[in-house]
Amino acid sequence: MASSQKRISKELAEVTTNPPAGITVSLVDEANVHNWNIVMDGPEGSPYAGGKFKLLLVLPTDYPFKPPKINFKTRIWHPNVTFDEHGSMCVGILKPEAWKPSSKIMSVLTATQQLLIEPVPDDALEANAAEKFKNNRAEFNKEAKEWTKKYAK
Amino acid sequence: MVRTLEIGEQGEQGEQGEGDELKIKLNFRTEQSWQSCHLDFFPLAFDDDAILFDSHFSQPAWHKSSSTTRSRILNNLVIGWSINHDNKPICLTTVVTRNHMTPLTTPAAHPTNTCFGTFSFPEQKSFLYPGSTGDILPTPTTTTSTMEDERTVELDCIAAIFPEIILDPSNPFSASIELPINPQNPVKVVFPAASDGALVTPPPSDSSQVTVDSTTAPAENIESHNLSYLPSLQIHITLPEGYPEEKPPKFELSTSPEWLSRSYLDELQAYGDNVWEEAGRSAAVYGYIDFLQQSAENAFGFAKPGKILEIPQDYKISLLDLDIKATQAAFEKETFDCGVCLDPKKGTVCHRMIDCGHVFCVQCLQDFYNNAITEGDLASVRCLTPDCAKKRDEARVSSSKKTRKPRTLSPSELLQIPLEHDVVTRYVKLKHKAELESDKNTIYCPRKWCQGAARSKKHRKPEGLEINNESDDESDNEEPVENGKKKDFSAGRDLLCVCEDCSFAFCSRCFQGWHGEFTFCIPKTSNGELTEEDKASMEYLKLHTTPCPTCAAPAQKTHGCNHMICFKCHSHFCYLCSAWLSPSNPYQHYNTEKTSCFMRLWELEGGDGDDVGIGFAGGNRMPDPEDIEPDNQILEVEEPDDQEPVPPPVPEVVVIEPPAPPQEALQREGPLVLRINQLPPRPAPAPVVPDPPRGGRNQRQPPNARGAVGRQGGRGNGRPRRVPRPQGPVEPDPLGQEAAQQAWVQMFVQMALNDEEDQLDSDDEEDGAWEIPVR
Repeated sequence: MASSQKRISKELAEVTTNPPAGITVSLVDEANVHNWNIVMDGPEGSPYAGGKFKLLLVLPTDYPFKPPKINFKTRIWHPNVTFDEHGSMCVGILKPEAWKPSSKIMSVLTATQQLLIEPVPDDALEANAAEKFKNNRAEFNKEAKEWTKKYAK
Repeated sequence: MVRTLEIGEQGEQGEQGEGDELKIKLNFRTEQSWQSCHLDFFPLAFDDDAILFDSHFSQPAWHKSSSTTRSRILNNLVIGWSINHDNKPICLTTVVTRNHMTPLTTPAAHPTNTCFGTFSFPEQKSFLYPGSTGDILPTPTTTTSTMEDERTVELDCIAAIFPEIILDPSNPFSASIELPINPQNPVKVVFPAASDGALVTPPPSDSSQVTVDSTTAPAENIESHNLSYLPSLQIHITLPEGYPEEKPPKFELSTSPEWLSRSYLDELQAYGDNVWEEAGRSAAVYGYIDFLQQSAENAFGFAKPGKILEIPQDYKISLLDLDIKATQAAFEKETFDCGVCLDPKKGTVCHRMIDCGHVFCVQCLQDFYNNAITEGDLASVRCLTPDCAKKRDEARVSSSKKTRKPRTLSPSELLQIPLEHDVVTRYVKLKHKAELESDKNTIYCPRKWCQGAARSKKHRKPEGLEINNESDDESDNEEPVENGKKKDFSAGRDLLCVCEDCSFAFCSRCFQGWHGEFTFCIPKTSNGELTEEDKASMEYLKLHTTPCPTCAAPAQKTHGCNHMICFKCHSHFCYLCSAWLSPSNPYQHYNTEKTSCFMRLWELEGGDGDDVGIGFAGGNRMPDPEDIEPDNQILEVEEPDDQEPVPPPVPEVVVIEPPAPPQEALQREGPLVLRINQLPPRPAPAPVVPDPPRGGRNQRQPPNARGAVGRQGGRGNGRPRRVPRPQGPVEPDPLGQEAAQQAWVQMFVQMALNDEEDQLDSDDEEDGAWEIPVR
């Protein structure tokens, strides 16, 4: 779908020329605009600070009619991200019923960043992390920091 | 052609040059693109309000583009001639009249490039220039117009500024110009009904029509419209002899249609004199036009919040039409960034969402909605802006809780985008289906091959491409008539369902063909099954009740005589045969030899039913294995087909099994033959009648209730007898049988005409075995 590639190219240009703070974007393969490598700094003030997290953003061929998929490639211990090799996450705007074609990748990235700052434990994928986040914040922060040190350096 | 002139790209201020010289970069827009040139201004003269500069254009582009320079106040820079915006209007007509606004086509001569500008800074920058204020005109070499009439010169200049002006061919000092009215804020307009004469034709001296404000505004229930475009203002200019020194210019204003009242236009016209006076009785045309233009910016005061403009109803359509067309034209000229493809697109290939105003390009909308509708993803057929619907929902909740508008787009908007007709049709159908499915009250057609939904007032089947959300109102309108008519039997009214697909009329309680509202029927689930409980009730009703001939309400006798009065409709009827009895003399029925109930008034005196009295056919009957065939009976009840009068060939069915179930067809021959054999070719009803016990329950069906209840089959003992009888005697005398049958049919028809066919069944009991015990 040519119009899809055109739009992706535009968004890529936008994100690379004017990247959101703490985020760098590159293509996995220069010939394919559908797969993006994202490197996201752990936001200051969160237990992920200091870490560098790699993510893979996959844009479907019928983007922007269908939402992109984003996964953490770096392991991250977070209530809303599965703590495994998939690093699946749930971001509200990526849910099919919430996705609108005029939503942009930029907002996906900032939403992801926001999720690192503010986990949503009620909508958790990682129950253990969510439980600690809710009931024992200090413990949560400590553990998240350790995992960050271990994986995201 | 230069239409506008601006300083700097972003409206930046002109820079001041060294000393007294001004260096200004000008950006000006032609029809096609932005161009820029540099101007060097040399102050020539100044007065209290303005400084006059001689300017040199440093780029040749100016020569080309400025051939019809239009001067306007923009960011406080006035090029050429104008009025000082912050102070009183000043017309430097002497400058203009020399035609310097139109750079001469002889670029060789430097002076011909001279232009004069009035330049004023917002912060009142002061310039000191010792030059004289007198002679400011380096005489252009090519212009020899000193003897020209000042009026001609002025009009020429106006024509240069407003190319759209139309000069009057018959009068050289007359011209007209059309001023478009496109106020910055929309004008709130109401169109009072023409009957309100006072508003339509106000007294000429009174401008109340146009100065009504919101506090005194007419009732709020009048629909108001926000118009962004109003019909243009026609200005007719006539410069009389003696203008400008002695006589003021004559301005005539008009609008078509007359949305501004004559009186108000007169006021505006009169202001022309003021402008002329204030300009020191010099050229005032531009000043006046400019004044009108500025007034039009806020629609002569009506665009202010709280103001309402009243316009006679007669002009409503043309004004609304103009507004729509002008808005559309403006929309098409605009450029939008489509949020989906992120490309800038011309308005002509864009669509503005009717509800929320977001703009997308048609291509993206088509791609997305076609895809969504094809996939059946109806919920996606809404604005593509993130959170758009959500935000509006929230706003709606806070404003008014009741108006729950559909968030998805209307079919008409989809067609406007435009989407293919087929796709929109599919959308409408899917939506209707989804609505029906989400409503658990939806009733579906019992015909297996159809399964359509019953016509519903709530979810009306879409006709064409409209989703009829307002149908509730309509149905309310239809309702009252029926209400009045059927008030007493409200149950029946809700029972009738008509399939919207195959138009099958059926009863929503028993899912049989429509049997009329008075007929008693047993509720059934739509899959055709009776519940055990209903089955039992049905059985009991069949055995121990008699339907009212009028309303079919089942009645059970607990004791007393067989003259019954319906508890529901107060009809008088016979408990034995369900015949309607004349209220004035009900007992005649039991005293007439002709009737099957002759002398049977007190039969079943103790009541009818297993639990009541002795039940004359039910309770005390010998259990007979062949007696009741519940399934058959039920089916009989279900069969609606016999609503029509039973045709002659099936008289015995009438008598014994009025509902004439289809499965009965096979059995027909048997009983018929038997009967023939037992009866003379022309059996007279007479011998039958006197036999009291005969009719029994079998006879209960009055002509008008026939088939309605279907409860009769099991009651009489006749039925079981029949089954074993078939066929036997048929063989010996087929011919006789046929003749007999024919004769019998004739007789039946005759009796049916007299409404007496019931009595025929008396031929059934040739032996007394099944007879009901008579007490």
